[in-house]
Amino acid sequence: MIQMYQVSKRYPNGALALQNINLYIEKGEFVFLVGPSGAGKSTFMKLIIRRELPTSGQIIVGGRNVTRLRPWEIPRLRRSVGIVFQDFLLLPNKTAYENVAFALEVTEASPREIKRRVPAALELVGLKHKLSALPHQLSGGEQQRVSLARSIVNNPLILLADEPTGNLDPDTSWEIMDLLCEINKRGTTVIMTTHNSNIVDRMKKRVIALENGIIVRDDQRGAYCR
Amino acid sequence: MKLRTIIHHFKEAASSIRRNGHMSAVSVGIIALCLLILGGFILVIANLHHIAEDIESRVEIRVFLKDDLSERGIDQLGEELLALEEVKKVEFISKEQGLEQLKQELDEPKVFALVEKNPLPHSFKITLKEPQAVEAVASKVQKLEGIEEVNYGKEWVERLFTFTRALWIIGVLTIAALLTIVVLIITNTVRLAVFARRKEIEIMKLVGATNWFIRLPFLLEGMLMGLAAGCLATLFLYFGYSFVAAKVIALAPFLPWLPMGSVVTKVCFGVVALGMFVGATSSAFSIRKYLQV
Repeated sequence: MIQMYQVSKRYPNGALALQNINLYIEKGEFVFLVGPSGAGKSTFMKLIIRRELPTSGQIIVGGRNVTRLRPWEIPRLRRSVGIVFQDFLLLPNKTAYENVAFALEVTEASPREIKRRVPAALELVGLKHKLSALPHQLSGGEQQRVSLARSIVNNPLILLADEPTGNLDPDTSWEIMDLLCEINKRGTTVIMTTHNSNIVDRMKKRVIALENGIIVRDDQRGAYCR
Repeated sequence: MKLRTIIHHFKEAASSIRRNGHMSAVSVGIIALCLLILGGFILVIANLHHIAEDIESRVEIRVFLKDDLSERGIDQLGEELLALEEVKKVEFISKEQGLEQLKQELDEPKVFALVEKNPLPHSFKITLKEPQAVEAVASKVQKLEGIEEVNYGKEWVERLFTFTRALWIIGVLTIAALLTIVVLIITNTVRLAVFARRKEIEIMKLVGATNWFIRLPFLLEGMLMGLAAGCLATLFLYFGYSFVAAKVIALAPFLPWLPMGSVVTKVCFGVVALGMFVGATSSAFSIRKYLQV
């Protein structure tokens, strides 16, 4: 699903974020991306959705060479990749329903399809009863669920979760993890960055550890630390 | 892009204006004020220009004829003058008419009592299509047969033209400067509104919206706000002008003040169009920076 060959990224200010990354992530995998701040995790995510271009190397996402996309092909790539952020990134003046519907409107989906899929996505994350709530009326965990629903509503091939539990308490974090597992079971490839060692250790999934832009460890059934 | 999407964008633009109510109101207010000042100034300049033109149109050439010219010669000369392309009207003024006019203008019966014989020659009064051509026409007429003297108040006319030309240049420069300022202020206002919503744009990009999908509602929003501001400014311009015009006409009835109607309508339409155009384009420009995510 995701392949990287000799990928390096140097920012214009000279900082070397990633060095010579080679990896292969299969369809349906669940991968943790761990490492200290500044190790290159965020850059890794940005490269996949083409928010940044690598300085050298090739990246293939879902059969498409991301580094060779023309500007007008980028929206299509991003529609096939769902994204969840630590700070949720919901539109503050749209309701939960509208926030999720937004991701579909962008694809010019028909109103019928929107009416069918938005409630389904919100039901999956357990928020069927709060469709018309605005983000500030929801708790942190609930906001993250809305953002999860938004990221999966158009059935993406890949889900990128950038510290999705970073702002949440342990119990709520586990609820989100259960949802991510559920989404993964339905066939979506999930890549999640995190600092939460507890979660990584208990999940027993593939762990890729980055340090100073280099992959220092890649375990199939890993833990946060060796 | 599907029709449904375009309708969706219109709804989106309208609801976004409503949601950002405070910001929208301030933007519309500022833009309306800018357009009002610009429109008002254009009307003032247009009136000054109109007055100057009215004065210019009174410029005329007086052609005095030689005494020995026969009646046939006079008729022929009149036709020759009328044949000149710059000439609008030629009026024959006989000795006697000339004296009558002079008497009326001077109003000094004692002076005329002393005059036994009419000293004035026959003359033509020439009105021009383009007052600026007065000097050229005068020199052409000078060369014709049977002419004693050509008079058009050379110095006075030159001063008048210098003045009206200066007025015109100042008017154009001021309007250009005002227009620039107005465009800058509108652009800046819209840019602030777009900046306030950069997060929204970022999210749109991340969920895979195409640039046009993001741009269009902003463009429509800018256009709608420009339209609202233009209408507001038009309202004030229209009533303000009729109020001021009434006052001026009462104070100085001799001034050829432009009537309500064509010019005011044109300016009002211009103001609305400018508001919409600048609103839309400055939205498009302001958003460009945020689209490169």
